[in-house]
Amino acid sequence: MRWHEVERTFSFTRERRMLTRRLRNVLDMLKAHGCRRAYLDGSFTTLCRTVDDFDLVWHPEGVDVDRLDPILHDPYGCRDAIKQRYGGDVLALEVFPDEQDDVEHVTILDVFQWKQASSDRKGIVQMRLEDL
Amino acid sequence: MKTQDDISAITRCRLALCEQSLARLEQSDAINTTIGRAQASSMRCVVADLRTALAADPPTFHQDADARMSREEAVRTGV
Repeated sequence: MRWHEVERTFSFTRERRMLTRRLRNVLDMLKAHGCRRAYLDGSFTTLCRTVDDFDLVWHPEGVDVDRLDPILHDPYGCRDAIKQRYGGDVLALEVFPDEQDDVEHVTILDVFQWKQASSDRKGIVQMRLEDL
Repeated sequence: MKTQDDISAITRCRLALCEQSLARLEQSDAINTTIGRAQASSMRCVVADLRTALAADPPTFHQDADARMSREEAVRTGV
């Protein structure tokens, strides 16, 4: 999705508009550090009216990680601080090298696509940050 | 229609897969880098959420039946 589509689709309440602004701030910051792709999931990407956060995963390719806000280096240990500062989870995508793939591994993108209480899969939102 | 047992089994299986991926991240050389630590920490968030979901599952039919049998057994044996 392009940013204007994300904005148009998910900003249909006052709370959502506030969250969208916070999401944009994180994306701008990630883009400024070289990030080109991010993925969005959670209740924010549904039609739920009551939403208090978003789930964001950023792709590390091209990102100057050491210059990122240090709390993003430890999303688990700093989870509350990240939610408070940015408005939601901001997770780093793991990329497993293909040559080691003799065992099944899942990434956070797989997890995002798992449908709750079901073995089915669902879609997630991919954002190309050059569109910002 | 999936039963609560089916749902718990799916969550347990997903949790095992995530724990496996987390272990792989933690054992790799990448863990010595900032991005490797951020990736492992991110997967820890996912593992924690799945553990919470599993813990929040209501007791299954079998667990209910086990608990009921235990109570009946206790009454029968006068405990």
